[in-house]
Amino acid sequence: MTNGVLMYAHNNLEIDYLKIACANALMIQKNLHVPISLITDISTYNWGKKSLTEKFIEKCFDKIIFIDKNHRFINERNFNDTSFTTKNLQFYNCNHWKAYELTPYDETLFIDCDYLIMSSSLNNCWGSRNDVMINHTIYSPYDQILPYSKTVDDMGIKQYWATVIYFRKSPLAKHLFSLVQHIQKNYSYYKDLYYFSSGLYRNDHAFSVAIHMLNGFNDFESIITELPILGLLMSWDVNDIHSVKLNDIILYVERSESKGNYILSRIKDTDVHIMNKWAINRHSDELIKLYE
Amino acid sequence: MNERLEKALEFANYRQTLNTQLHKSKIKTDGLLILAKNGGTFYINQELICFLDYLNRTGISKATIFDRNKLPVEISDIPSFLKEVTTRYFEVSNDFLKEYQIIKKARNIKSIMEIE
Repeated sequence: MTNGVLMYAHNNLEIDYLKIACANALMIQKNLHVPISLITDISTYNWGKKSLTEKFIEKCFDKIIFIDKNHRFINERNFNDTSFTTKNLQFYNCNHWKAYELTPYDETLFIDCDYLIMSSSLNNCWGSRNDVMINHTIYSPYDQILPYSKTVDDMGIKQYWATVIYFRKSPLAKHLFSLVQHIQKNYSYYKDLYYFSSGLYRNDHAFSVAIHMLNGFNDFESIITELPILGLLMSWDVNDIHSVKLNDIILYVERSESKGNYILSRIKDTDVHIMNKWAINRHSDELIKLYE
Repeated sequence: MNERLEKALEFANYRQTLNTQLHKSKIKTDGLLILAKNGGTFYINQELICFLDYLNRTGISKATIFDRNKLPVEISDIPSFLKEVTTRYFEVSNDFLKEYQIIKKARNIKSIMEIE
């Protein structure tokens, strides 16, 4: 049985996802000690060769899998760099359903490159009897509430977060990814059926619908269990990074009741999803230096 | 803003940072108390420890118990599992105690964050 981590990186005009993935790969090497594969496109890789060098990229990943980009896929969204800067950029996320076929591992931890691994908690996944594990519980570095679940709409189904997915090569995982492919191809239909608030394609929504369908259109007794962690720690894109150390990040967290007003929040030995991509890009050189 | 109000707001900010930090430490500790065993995942708490101790004391060395997802997991060696569970419990609770004392003693935001 082989196991490893799989990540995607497709740069857009401003965000260097490959550099973020490289920094995170070094963090994974340090904390999880498992092989890492990257799925990317040739233009992203060519940019990386210039900015990071081929030797460095090969040091970060055990395997690089190239796929062609579908240039007809238009999925623009607003990317925030704190509450004060918003840019509308391409969000290329239409090929996550391919992860099942592309993964070189029997057991895969499929993670977003901005989910920074600062602990070994996810090592609890290996050898699990569950074929697929995804979380619906999240928590924030600001609120003093226990991990909670959201729904895709006020009266909708439970929202799962495609930020971290564990899957084993199995019929159940294959069905799940096939359904996600089907939902992505017919997204405008499912968007209306499940009352998604915007037309933006989100894998979180596609996986939530797929799980709902796999459960026999039932939202209670889920066939998909949660990851062996308490919840995903989400730092929204209105937050910024103050400083980074080894497995230790201090965030500027915007107060929910007061825009532009921050408190400091220290994340230590805990994995965290940093949604402000510019913030990671600003600190990625430092992260690379720390974990290299 | 007068000085008294400024000090009160500064204190409120400090208290909020301290409480947020304590809350995150609690959640981190809870996360570390999740243990993978025989393909299942267990949440280590005093209830699990007592149950395993009861099985051990009554001479039951092999049992099927429910994990965190309410799925049955066969444990073939109860005494060694009890040892593994209690070891993890004390490791995690001692680490939390250290962290808790550091945070509680901090008298300003800089020391909570350990910023030099």
